[in-house]
Order: sequence, then C-alpha cells, then structure tokens
Amino acid sequence: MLIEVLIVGVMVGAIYSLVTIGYSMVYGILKLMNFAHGDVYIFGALLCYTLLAQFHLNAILAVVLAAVAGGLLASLVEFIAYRRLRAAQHRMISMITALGAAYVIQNSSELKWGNQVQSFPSLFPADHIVIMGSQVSVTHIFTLIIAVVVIVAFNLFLKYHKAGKAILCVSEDIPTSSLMGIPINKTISVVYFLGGVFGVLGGVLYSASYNAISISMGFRGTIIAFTAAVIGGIGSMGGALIGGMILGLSENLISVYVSSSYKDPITFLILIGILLIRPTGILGRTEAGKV
Amino acid sequence: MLKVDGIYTQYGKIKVLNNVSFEISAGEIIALIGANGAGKSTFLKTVSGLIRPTQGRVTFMDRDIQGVAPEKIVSAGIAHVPEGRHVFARQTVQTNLEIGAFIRSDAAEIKKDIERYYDIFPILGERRNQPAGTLSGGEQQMLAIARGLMARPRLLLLDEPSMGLAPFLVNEIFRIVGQLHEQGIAIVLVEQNVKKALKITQRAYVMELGQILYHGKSSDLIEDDRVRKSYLGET
Repeated sequence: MLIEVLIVGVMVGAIYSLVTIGYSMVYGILKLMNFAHGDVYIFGALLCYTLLAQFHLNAILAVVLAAVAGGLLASLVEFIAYRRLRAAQHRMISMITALGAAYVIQNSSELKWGNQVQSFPSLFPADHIVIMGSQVSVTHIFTLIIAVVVIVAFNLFLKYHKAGKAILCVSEDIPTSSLMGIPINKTISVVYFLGGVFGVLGGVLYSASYNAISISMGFRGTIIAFTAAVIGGIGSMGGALIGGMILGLSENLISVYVSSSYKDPITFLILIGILLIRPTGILGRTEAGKV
Repeated sequence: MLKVDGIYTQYGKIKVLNNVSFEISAGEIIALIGANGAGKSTFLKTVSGLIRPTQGRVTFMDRDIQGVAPEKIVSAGIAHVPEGRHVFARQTVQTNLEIGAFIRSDAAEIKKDIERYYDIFPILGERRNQPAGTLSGGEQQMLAIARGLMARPRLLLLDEPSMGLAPFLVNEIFRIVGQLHEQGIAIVLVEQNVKKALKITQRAYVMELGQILYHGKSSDLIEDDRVRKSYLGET
C-alpha cells in the first residue's frame, strides 16, 4: 500500500513540478503573478481531450499539438496583456490584466467545453506491474518518467544551451541582459511559451492518469503552481521541483491515511509552517532591495 | 565614430540631459567627469540604448542609433560596462563571459577570447566555475570589463570602473583601461577619480546639471583652474 501511495505521490509531485516550473519562471523574470497560468494549461488539456476523443488523433500528435497551442496562447497573453505594462510603476497593474486574461480564457474554454467533468482517454495501456509486492499502474510509471525526462531536459537546456543561459540572465537582470545583446522581448515570449507547453503537458498527464478533466482544474492549477512555487522559493527552478514534490506527496499521503477532505487544509498548514521557518521558501533568496 | 548631437532625456517629468553634444573618434580615449547626479550615467545609458532621448541625434559609424534597442546597439559595436558592475551573480564567471559574447557565433574564437581574459585576469580563471556573486568587488569589476570586451566592441563605455575598490585595485583597473586603449578600442571613461582619469585620457568633457560645461585636451584640463577647484580639490 505505502509503495503504491508513494509512487502515485511522486508522480503527482512530478506533474505539479512541471506545472510550477512555468509559473515560477515567469515570476522570476517579471515578478508577475501569472493568474492565467492554470487557465492556459486547462485550455491545452481540453484541446488535447477533443483531439483524442473526437478526432481520434494519434496520442503523441495530439499532446504535441495541444502543448504547442497552450504555449502560443501563453505567449499571446504575455504580448497582449503584460508586455506594454512592463514599464508600469506598479506590479499591481499587470496583476489585474493577468486576472482579466485568466477570466477571458476560462470563460471562452467553458463556452466551448462546458463545465462538466469529462472522461479523459488513457494514454497508456491499462496494465499493472508488481513492485515490491504492490500493484502499480503502468500509466503512473509512464507519467512519472515523462515528467522527469521533460524536467531534466529543460534544466540541462537552461544550464548548457546559450538560449537557456540567456533566460537565466534575463531573470536576474533585464537591463544588463539587454546590454549583452540578449533580445529581451523574444526571450520573455519564449519563457511564456515554454511555461505554457510544460503546463499543458502537466495538465494532460494529470487528466490522463485520473481519466477525468474539467474546467475547474484550471483555477486549481494556478493555486497549486502558486503554492508549490512559494513553498520551494518563488522564482527558483529547484524550488519549483521541491515544492511540486512536497505538494504531490503530501496530498496523496493525506488522502490515503487521513482523509481526502483534509488534503487542502493540511497542505496549506504545511505551506504556512514552511513560510514561518523560511519566509522566502525552501530554496528562496531574499530579494536584494533595489536602489 | 560616435557623434551625439543635442540630446535631451528625462525620467518621467524630471529632465536629466539638456542639450548634450559629444564626439569621439575611433581609437580615442575620453574622460567624462562631473559631480554625482550630473547626468554622466544617463549619458552612457542613452548611448547604449537603455534610455531613449526625447530629442537629438546619436550616430555611430554613420548610423542613427537613438531609440534603437540596446541589444541591437551592442551588435553595432558599442559595449557598456554599467556602474555597479551588474555581473550575473547567480551564474558562474565562465557563463558571464560567454553571455558577454551573446551576439557572436564564432564558438572557437569565443573560447580563445575567454582564455585570453583568464590570462589577463588570472583570478577570474581560478574562479571560472564559481558564481559571480561570490567574487569580491574588484574581481567583479574585472569580470564586468572582460564581459563587456567579449562582445569585441569598437567603443567601450566604462561607468565608474574604480568605484568602491581598494587603492591598489584602482591602479590595476586604470592600467588595464590604458592597455585597452593601446589595443585600439575607443573608450569613454566616466570616473570620480578625476586626476587619474585625466592622466590616461586624451580629451575630457566636464558635465554639470545635465549639460556639458566645457571640454578640451585632458592635459590642458588638468591644469585648468575650474577643474582644479571643482574636481581635484585644489585651490
């Protein structure tokens, strides 16, 4: 039993990390709470659902198309709702347009897909394998592997690719990055695009492993990304991973061993507890005050 | 090479530069001196594109560059080493130098340049895998200069390179600036250390309250009563 719960917990944790990466990265660069993040990812996941259930597309093709669509939507939101406000004096202003963008995407998606829970097709065979005496679903294993591979690949990209390093530099210091010749607007578009792609991937993997999808998962996605990012240290890549893992594991352990109705309260108690000890999150840095 | 013609800039409603004109030829080294708040940094930022002038023209190698994005101005051949160093603190020394060469695509030459700067600044070579934020102020300044040079600029804008450094490091920085000039890079040097700046430059501009008060040969200005009184603390 425990093995199974842990594997599901780690799987959900890896999905949450995937969803959180994009959210945290955007915060790292623009110091903006991207309220539209969850709505973008649920839009992509719903699109994937339509491609699979109605158009019977090949699973890989459907996921790739949906992820790209989500990525494009995320960069479109940045272009329309945030870019022109980057110079605005108060971050509150772009926070309001972020909320606006979230509502527009959410309501448009609801218009198309309704607010019912729909059954999401499986992406993997419904087999089980036995690990240390526990039955573990193949779907969970595959989901975990995919999430981990994407996260590792992205971190290698950030660390070793020129464009990845440029993203890290932009997230540290935008004006100095522009002095190095890094195209700022293009880099920010790419960050939003990738954030959208990873979000949709996370959303699809989550829906596929629970065989369910509904519009309400979007808002929940934003909350999860926010909570995981804050627990791990907002703006930090490693923090997004740790935060996602803590949330995924605690949710599953609590659901099984306590009660699923205590899932959210206890999760937020953990958040409060961590913030009391480390106000900037586990891997968070204290922001140096700018003169 | 660079010609600035009657530029005005403002931050919000506060006017900073007021009809500033300036000229530097290829290979020349020029000091820009003046009190805090005179507008020297704003002037450099306007040249490198971080700030848009509200009026006036900036031409570099016969090309209008006012209002052009900073990332394009670097490609045109101007590198700006900002005041306060602004190294990428969380990235390694090596990554900082690589990012300095962002506009270049000649990987082999970039590698060679990095090794060259490790020779010139051995301490950077020793710390190549350390995050830049762990370096001392002087080391960060060397890194900031080397990072600016990685773009292989024709014109280097240096903003207060000796600020906050120990005296022996100040001498070291000035020695390096002199060497860069000998290599044929044109340099605009903004400095609080007026005496040293006038000694290694050919010409100098004196700024006050957003305007160029006067300019001339550095060797003349060092004897000029106005300069001696205001900036060299002599009577």
